Amino acid sequence: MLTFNILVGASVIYVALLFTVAFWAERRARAGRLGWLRSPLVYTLSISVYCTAWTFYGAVGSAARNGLEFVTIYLGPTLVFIGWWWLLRKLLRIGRTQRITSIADLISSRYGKSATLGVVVTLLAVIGSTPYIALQLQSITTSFSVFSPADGTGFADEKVSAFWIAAVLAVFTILFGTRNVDANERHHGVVTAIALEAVVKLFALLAVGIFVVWGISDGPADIFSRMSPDMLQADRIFSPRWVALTFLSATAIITLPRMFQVIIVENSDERHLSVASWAFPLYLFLMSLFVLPIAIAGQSILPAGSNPDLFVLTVPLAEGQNALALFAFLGGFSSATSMVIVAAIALSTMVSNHIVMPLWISTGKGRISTSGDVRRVLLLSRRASIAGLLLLGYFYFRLTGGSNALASIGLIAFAGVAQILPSLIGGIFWRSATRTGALAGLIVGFIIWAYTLFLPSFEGSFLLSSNVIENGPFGLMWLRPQELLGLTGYDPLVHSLFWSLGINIALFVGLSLVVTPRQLERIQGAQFVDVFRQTGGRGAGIVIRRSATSEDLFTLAQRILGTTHAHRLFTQAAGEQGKQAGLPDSTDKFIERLERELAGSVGAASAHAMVSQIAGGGTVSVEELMNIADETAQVMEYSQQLEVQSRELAESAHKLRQANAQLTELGAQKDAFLSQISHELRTPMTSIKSFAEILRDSEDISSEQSKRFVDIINTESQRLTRLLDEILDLSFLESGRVNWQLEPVELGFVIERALTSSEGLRASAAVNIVCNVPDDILVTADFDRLAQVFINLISNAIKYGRAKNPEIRITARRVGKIAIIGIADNGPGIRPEDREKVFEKFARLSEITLAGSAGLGLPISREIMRNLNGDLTVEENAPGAVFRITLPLA
Amino acid sequence: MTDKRPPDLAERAFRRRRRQDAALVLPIFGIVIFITPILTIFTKDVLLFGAPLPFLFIFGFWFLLILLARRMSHLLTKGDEGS
Repeated sequence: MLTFNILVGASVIYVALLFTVAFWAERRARAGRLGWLRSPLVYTLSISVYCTAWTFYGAVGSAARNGLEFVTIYLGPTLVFIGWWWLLRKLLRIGRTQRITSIADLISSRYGKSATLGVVVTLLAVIGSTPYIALQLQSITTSFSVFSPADGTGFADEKVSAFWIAAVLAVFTILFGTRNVDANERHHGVVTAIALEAVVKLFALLAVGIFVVWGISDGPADIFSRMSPDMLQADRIFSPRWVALTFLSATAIITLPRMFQVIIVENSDERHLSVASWAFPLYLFLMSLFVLPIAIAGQSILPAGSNPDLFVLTVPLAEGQNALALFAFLGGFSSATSMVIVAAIALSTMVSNHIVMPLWISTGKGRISTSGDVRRVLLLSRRASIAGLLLLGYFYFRLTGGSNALASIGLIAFAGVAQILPSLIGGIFWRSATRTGALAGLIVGFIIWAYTLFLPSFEGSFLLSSNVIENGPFGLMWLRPQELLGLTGYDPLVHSLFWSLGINIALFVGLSLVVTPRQLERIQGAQFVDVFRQTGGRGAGIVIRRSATSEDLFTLAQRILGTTHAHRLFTQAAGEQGKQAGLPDSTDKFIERLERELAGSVGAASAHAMVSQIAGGGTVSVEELMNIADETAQVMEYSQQLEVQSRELAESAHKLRQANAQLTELGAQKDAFLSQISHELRTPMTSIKSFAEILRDSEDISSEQSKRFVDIINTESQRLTRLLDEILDLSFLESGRVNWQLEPVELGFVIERALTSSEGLRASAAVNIVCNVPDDILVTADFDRLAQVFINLISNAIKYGRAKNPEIRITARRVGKIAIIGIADNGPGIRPEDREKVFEKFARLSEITLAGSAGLGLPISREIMRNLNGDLTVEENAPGAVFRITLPLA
Repeated sequence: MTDKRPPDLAERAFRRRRRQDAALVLPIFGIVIFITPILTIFTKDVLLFGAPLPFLFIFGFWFLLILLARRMSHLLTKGDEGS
């Protein structure tokens, strides 16, 4: 039989081992040789503070009473961890970039570094955790009592042993939990000790489980065959309570102060989380694997009425396995102590940063400026809070010890801290969440939780009398704590959770939508929600304009961080600003950074308050708020600009291609024109040259012959001159420099002039002219130019209208506001494919139509007509060549 | 798995995004298994291989989730290094 002395001896040795391990880890950390102490494995094991004595002993009790329900307490955290990519990763990143020290700091920092919120969350956490600490003390003392002989002799008083346990835990926590004032610096000693305890409790439970399955019975089938038929209570699986418990445990893993401490604050590497995402669920899986078999064994071999909460100890004892029982006892001891230690660290940080510090600042003592004074206050307040919290837990245990109230406190505490969840989730995923909404939701949710769950759990012995619980305050039945508004038929836990969280969320969301947040809230909101979008530390460009002297800032830093640390920080900052010596400039960026450093020690709200005391409150300009504007919007705007630019580019490229094509065509036309013109000029030149040579070289030429040659030379010269005149005229017309003398002109008179001019030509060709032009047609034109067109057309008709009895018919008529004049010959006409070509310069037409040179007559005539607002075209379907002129009437 | 990284950057980005989506789906799968009425289908009070079916179902799927989470965590961290 184990004696009390052996038990106490084992406990003392175990605690001494924890001290040694913690001390060793601290020394290694300070020497910079962390090695595997910073591994994902240690991180995962430290998260197992989730498994307290309540789960170590209580899970078996729960399995004996409620069947499989106990797994919900493990399934919730499993779901949260395998979904780490969603939530924990973001929390971790926020915790690191904002130097978050606790769950209260996170909420306070998110909602504009609100001191009030910090106080509320801290109080909530303390109220929720104190009974929990008491529960751990109770579990240790109860486990002691299991080993006591039936007559109760030889054992010290439970209350005395509880006190000593609390005292030893306080010493350990103060020693290793408050070495640094910067709560963000890892507590390597504590974490390593916790990891060791995690291993002990896992192996203790596994050892008992294996002993039960393969020692007492013959394997799994045998142990399950001993199970009483209604033990599993399979019909109660998936009840509202099942869902509520899973949800609660999932919430607890995020919002419990001690869980936040180990998962977020103590994390040293984000990659560790990805390992913990499967390793921690595996740990929970192993912890719960043998719970049911142990419960079955306890029920089958122990006398009826034994406390199922102690089966883990009593089953090995009943089988005479003292060593195993001792191991199991140490496992339970580990579970209890690790929870108390981490909870005390987390809560003391919150109390000192959010309650003591603001009070200290507001009493004006914050103005004493000796180096390290704030640091001393912080350390002192943290140590005092640790002692105070454990003392509180001890008194709580003294007052309610052994009652059922304490046993059920686990889930009640979960429901209490679950009130933080809406503000937390809303805070990191919803930019519009406001301080007012969070505050109202938290406070009202907390009050409803206290009224419907916490106070009734005392069964009438604290604040609420049993009469009030039964019949409602002042006999108002609809206010009965466990049947609010007549909502009956639900488990008290589900009922309370529904009302408290429901109203909490409603107030949080509703008020957030109504109340306008302050500037600092918006900035913090953007930094929390968009934490993954920000590169290079804190939100680029978002700086609050403040001014302070570097000396003041240094004094402040010295007071909080101590001289050495402050000196190192300022020297480094000065170096980064490019200064060889002296203090860094107090730029906005530096003040921002300093505030963040200080926040790692005293929390965001206190750091903000202290820096603002010397640097002024700070304002945010519109531009800075614009910077916070959604990055997506900026990206979209940018891509729209790009689209517009690329469209413009495509358009101008198209225009350029068109212009290029036009230029190429014009170039080709010019080349053709030049080659044509040289050809035209060359023909008369050749004949002039050859006849001139004949006249020069041949001496036996008759005078008659020589006269004929000179005539030819003369004719060709005239043709050449005319050609050059025409080219000049055309280029003159095309250049647009002609002064047009537009006036009312009598058409018949112009035609008469043209006929007179071509009289010589007509006479030689014996052409008959039929002129049918009314006398009274007046057109707007330039007289000389119009006459030039007619002369050209008539001489063309004479030259090319070769028929047996050549006849030229000239007609004119009015159509609306224009006059149409036709000039027709009875020659061979123009072939359809040549009809437009005749107006081209030097167009090569078939010999029959226009023998010899096409000349420039027709192009010039068309150019003139178009300048006179008329036109010159060739009539289709006519027997001879028919030209039509249109002109506006005067 | 051997590292078969496709050369195409866009393809790699696509695969990484899909891995991240899968990481989001995994807890939803867990929720569907453990806290929806699906649970009641498999938790009839019968014995299978000498063990009660609800026990086997819950612990079996629990273990499966852990294996999937382990796989997922490897894929995601590999994706991080690739980017």
